[in-house]
Amino acid sequence: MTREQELTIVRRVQHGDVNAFELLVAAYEKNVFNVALQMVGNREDAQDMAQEAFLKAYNSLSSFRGDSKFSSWLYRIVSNVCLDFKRRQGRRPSSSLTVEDDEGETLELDIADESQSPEALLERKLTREAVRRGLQELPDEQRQILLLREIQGMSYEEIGEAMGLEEGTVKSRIFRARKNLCAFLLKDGNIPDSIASRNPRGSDVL
Amino acid sequence: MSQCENYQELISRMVDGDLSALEEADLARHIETCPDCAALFQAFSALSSQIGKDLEESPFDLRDNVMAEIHREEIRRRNRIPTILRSVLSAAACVALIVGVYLGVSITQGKNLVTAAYDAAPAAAEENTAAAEEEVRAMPEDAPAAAEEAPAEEAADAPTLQANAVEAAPENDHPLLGMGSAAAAPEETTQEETEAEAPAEALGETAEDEAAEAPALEEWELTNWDLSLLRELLKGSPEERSAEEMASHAFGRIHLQNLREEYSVLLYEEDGVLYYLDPAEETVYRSALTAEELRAFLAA
Repeated sequence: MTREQELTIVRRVQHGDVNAFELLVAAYEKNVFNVALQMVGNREDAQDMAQEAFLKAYNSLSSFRGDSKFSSWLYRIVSNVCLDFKRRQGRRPSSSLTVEDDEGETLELDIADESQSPEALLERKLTREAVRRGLQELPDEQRQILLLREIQGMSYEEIGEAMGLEEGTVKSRIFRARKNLCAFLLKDGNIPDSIASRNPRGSDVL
Repeated sequence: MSQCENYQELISRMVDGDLSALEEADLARHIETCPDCAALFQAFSALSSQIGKDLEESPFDLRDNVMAEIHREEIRRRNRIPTILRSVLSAAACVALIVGVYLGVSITQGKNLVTAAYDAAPAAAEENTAAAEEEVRAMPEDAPAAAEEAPAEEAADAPTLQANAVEAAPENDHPLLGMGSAAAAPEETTQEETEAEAPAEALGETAEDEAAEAPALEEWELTNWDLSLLRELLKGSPEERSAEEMASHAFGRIHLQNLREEYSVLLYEEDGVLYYLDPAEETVYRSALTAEELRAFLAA
């Protein structure tokens, strides 16, 4: 949906056309649900989160002024709903990993093993389940921002808008999220022993 | 390899298309010579496509739940019926619906009961509508949602309850072809899955799809849309003219499909005005959108 389309519908709702809101729900429910799913890890909670997000959006629609895309605003809402949910569950917002500020790591992807190409190695690691697991391991803000980029396809600018961040911060956070996710995926499951032992510095990058 | 650290974040940005042509060329040159960065680029790209693909479908009742809650909130805000009375009335309606569905499930008990269910449900919907204020005009949209959640599992229900609707269907001659609908019937057995109970007035009878017809129409598919949603988008008002009259102006068709139903909506254009044929009511409507606006919307 384009920005104009969104605005038209939002205005209709703001003027009392309740049913028009369903058009927005229909347009974004899949992505909102999938963001929530990756944030909280299971379908039932994700559905609750998504529904709550839409309701929150509806109830605060009068405060939406259209300076950002409605979808950006909506994704911010669902992200925050999920973050709050996780906090209530007792998980700390930033995990204990020091990755947030750590700039000094070099990601070791040792591809000197002749027996498999990097593509084959990656392919084995990148099953949907492994990626989901990996996403759960990320600090919440990194997971959040990576999902907005990869699932919603939001631009850096839109993400900055949605999360109230400078673009530079968006870029580096996405980079760190990817780096950590890759590192986790390498560690997760079986790294071929030949690779692990060959690497003199060890393969731990977290 | 520490110089690669400078490149690493650039690689992330390159995956997102954030580099200028010059920066990208420079990075590509580096990647050609540096196996570690090449691997990183591979990893980031693969990750990117993996996370974004295979998105799960959102739960089928998500939208209904949201809209139902919104309508409830709106009613709470404007309703003057005392809370207790209102909840008693809606509870009564719910019981009637549930009883109606239960009766409908006992297929072995014969058609009488099935017909009774068919009648009981609209009665319940009537009660509901009568009891609340006019905002609850929105409620019939809820009733289908509530009514269909229960029978969602009783798939066996649909064909039986359809028995009543199907009998009526052959009566409706295909508007475009002006001949018997027999030709249309075989193709549309899937559409007979539409629950024809309570919301008989809301959903109308099963839609007749146009199997064979006129010159190449543009076709659009909308999945996870239902008829009420499309009506909402098009904001139509009833038009005096019949579908036959309009037939020569047909230019396109929208196919709606969600878990519960399938519809085909014929689109006409005349003098820049957009019209459509509501398959449930078999009435031509004049849309508040223009054909161009609709095309733009469907293309997005």
